[in-house]
Amino acid sequence: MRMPEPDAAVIAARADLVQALRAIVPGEGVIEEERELLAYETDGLTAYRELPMLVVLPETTEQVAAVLKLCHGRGVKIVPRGAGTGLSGGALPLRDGVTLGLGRFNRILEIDYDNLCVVTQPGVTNLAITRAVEDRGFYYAPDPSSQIACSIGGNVAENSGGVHCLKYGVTTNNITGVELVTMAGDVLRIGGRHPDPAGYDLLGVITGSEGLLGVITEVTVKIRPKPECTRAALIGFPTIRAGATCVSRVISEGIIPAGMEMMDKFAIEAAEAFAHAGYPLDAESLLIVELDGTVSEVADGMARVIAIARECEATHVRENADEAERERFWSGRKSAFPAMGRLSPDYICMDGTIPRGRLPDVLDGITALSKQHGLRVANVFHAGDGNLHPLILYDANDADQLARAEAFGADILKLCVAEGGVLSGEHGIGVEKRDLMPAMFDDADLKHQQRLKCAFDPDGLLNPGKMFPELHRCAELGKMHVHHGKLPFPHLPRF
Amino acid sequence: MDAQVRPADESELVDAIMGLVAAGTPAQIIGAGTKQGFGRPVNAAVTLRLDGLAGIQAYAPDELTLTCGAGTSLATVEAQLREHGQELAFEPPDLGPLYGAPSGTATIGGVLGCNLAGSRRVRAGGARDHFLGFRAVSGRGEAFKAGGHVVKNVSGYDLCKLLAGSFGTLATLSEVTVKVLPRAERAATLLLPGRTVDDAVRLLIAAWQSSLEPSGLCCMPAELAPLLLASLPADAGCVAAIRFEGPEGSVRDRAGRMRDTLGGPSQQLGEAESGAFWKAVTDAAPFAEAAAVQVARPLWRLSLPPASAAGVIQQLVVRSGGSWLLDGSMLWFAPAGDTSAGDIVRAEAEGAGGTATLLRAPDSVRAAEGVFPRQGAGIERIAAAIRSGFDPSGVLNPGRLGA
Repeated sequence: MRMPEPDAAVIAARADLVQALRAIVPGEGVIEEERELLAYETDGLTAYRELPMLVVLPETTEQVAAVLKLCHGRGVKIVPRGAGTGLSGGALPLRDGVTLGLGRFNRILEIDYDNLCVVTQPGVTNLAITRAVEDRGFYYAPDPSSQIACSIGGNVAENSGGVHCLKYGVTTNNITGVELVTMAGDVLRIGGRHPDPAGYDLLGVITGSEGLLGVITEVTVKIRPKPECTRAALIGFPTIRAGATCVSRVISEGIIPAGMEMMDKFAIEAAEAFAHAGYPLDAESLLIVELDGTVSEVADGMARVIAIARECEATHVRENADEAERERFWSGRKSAFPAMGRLSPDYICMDGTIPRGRLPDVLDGITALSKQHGLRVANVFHAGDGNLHPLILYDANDADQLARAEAFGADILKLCVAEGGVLSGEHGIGVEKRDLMPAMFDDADLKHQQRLKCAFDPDGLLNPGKMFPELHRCAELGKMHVHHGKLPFPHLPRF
Repeated sequence: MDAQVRPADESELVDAIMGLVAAGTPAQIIGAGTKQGFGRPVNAAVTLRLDGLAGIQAYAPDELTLTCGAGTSLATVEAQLREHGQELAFEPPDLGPLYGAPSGTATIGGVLGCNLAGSRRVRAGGARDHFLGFRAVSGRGEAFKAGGHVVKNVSGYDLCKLLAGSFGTLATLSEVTVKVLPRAERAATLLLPGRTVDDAVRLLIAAWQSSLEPSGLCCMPAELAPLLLASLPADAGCVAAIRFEGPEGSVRDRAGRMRDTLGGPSQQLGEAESGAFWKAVTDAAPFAEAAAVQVARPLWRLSLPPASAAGVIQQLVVRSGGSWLLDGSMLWFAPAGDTSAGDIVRAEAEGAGGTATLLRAPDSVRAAEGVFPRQGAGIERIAAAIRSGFDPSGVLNPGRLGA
């Protein structure tokens, strides 16, 4: 993975920077020893590693602002990092950069039931927010699979989703405010406890900006009352197409399930062997459909879903008898990743979204690509919203396999885009899909995106090398070119 | 250049904006022009009108997406969705009549550009939350796109959010993709009359916190009620209203349980009355009465932390006097007389942790006082930098969002 050329002058001044940082963050908050830096060399995308020049772990917004101002003045790059669980390499360090970890921002600041919100520091885990409010019958809706470990600040940076986002939305639909520190060290308070503040929707653009626009030091999230009743059904089909048809029919009949997950045969077998969830091993595709709401509404809805499933040739239909069985249904799906870990030393998880109706053809395409690249693939799928997670199995100790896995993954995402979909549904672009951005966006599209970046970070010091395959200087992006279609800088360096 | 330019496709839109840039002439950007009184007055000799960029290009009901020209009328979009039992869940309001424009002519691009949502905002989110992708031409005269045609996407910055509520000051939308959702089979509304303001807001918060999934929460002084639904009496005190939507049995069940939980006198509106009532709430219809004489009468829209609403309402009524309607987190307030009461309204909104927008007032008042809340210097600096990146010559709706 090519990253921006390290700045030798910055690396040479490392000792001096350590001293200046220690004046801001005392004690063990500045890490310079190689063996300690090793803990930060990668994130959830373990295929790529780099040792950061330094790691700094501030505890207050004032410290974050001072660190950023210092680094801004010295031209030192910053890589923000939450819990390090991201799957697209958004927190991959830079050899000449300071990794700014938010792990010490680990307190919930206020629970405001009357305004249905929680104000929290960014290092608090996603699940801890729900844990803090569940005794009063509330929860925070987005639930990425890593919710036990991932931080809410990281969720904002990546605009994380989860299995329940068809009905309840992703992170951007569930937050109302942030405190953000810019690369220059300005502290901005954006939004609050009310929706739709006037002016440009900076909260909206910061969410999912992958740490390129600012460092988040506080988040206000919406909480919701827990549904009165939640029920799930496990439904097996003789073909992928039958399962996909069932998903489309459920939605076109006006039912929006809280969750609707699909797995292919390989994923079913692996998950069953790992979790003993009671999955039917003779099915070619398996759906978990979960409905929530009031008791009567869920009962009616589930009867309709099952009737549709039977019309779609379902061979296996099982409703959960009790809460333990519902959790068992999910245990297989939620352990799909570790289950793959047992079958293969390494795997990468892709993340394209497609128009749902294209699913059977896209899966056929993935099967063909699997043969072409000589690597196995299992498919798990947020079927309700068309977000596909092919898991490509490979051995990282074999350089050729890693290269083939990367090429296979890129081919899958190009296929998703060609079928009318997108590169990433919820994991972000990061370094993983950076060089694929031109498959989805043309030059004018990418330049307009980078003009937003220039408004926040004109020197390009925040998390460079992520999201964009080419870095344009803001001064060049700012110029007007009245004769459109003619690109004045066609040969900018790629990295 | 003509005083009004009406491109028929995106390439004509590119040419039009290139022409503005070359001539150094700013333009007012409108869809069908129903909300020209919303925002600071734009001083521009040219009007760029986008309702020629109309037509539904792709609609896949079971993908829950619709793509259309940004100038397509909202009525056209909604009629198409209704045929397939779907809707725009954010319940876009028709604010045209507040400004004396005819109802039913607003464009989808205008609704997104102003980020307008109705009463279902409390449950379904705002316009911004349903805006999936677009094609647009920036003030640089360059066509570009962002987002996608699928409901879940984190590829690149979320420029849909940036353009939602940008009032045409960064780029002119040419094509939009929105998320669509199934329309509920039934709706019913629980009316709770004869309450104090405190009581009414407390009931609404209790409903919001319950697992009975209300999809509309509003309250108003009783004298306003007959303006929302002619059959409602103008009793004393304040009326709260809670809407439930879903399958028939579920709606009946939830409305009944909510009535029993909240206690006190109540009445229930059936399907048709409920529909008419919430349409009037969403459109702020009481403030559009006799539009011809009232278009210049100041009207505010506040966005508030919900629990602060009762205190804000009481202070506004005491300090300024006037009429109000609380719709979820959004408070409509028409000060008594012809004054904007700007200092009072802004101070009360900001004191409660919210914001106030002067939705309607004479041009001279909006030009002098500004329309949108001031933000901190840091945020305004970034907003200005974004604007100069997307529209360096300042040809698109200059001044509309602020000085």
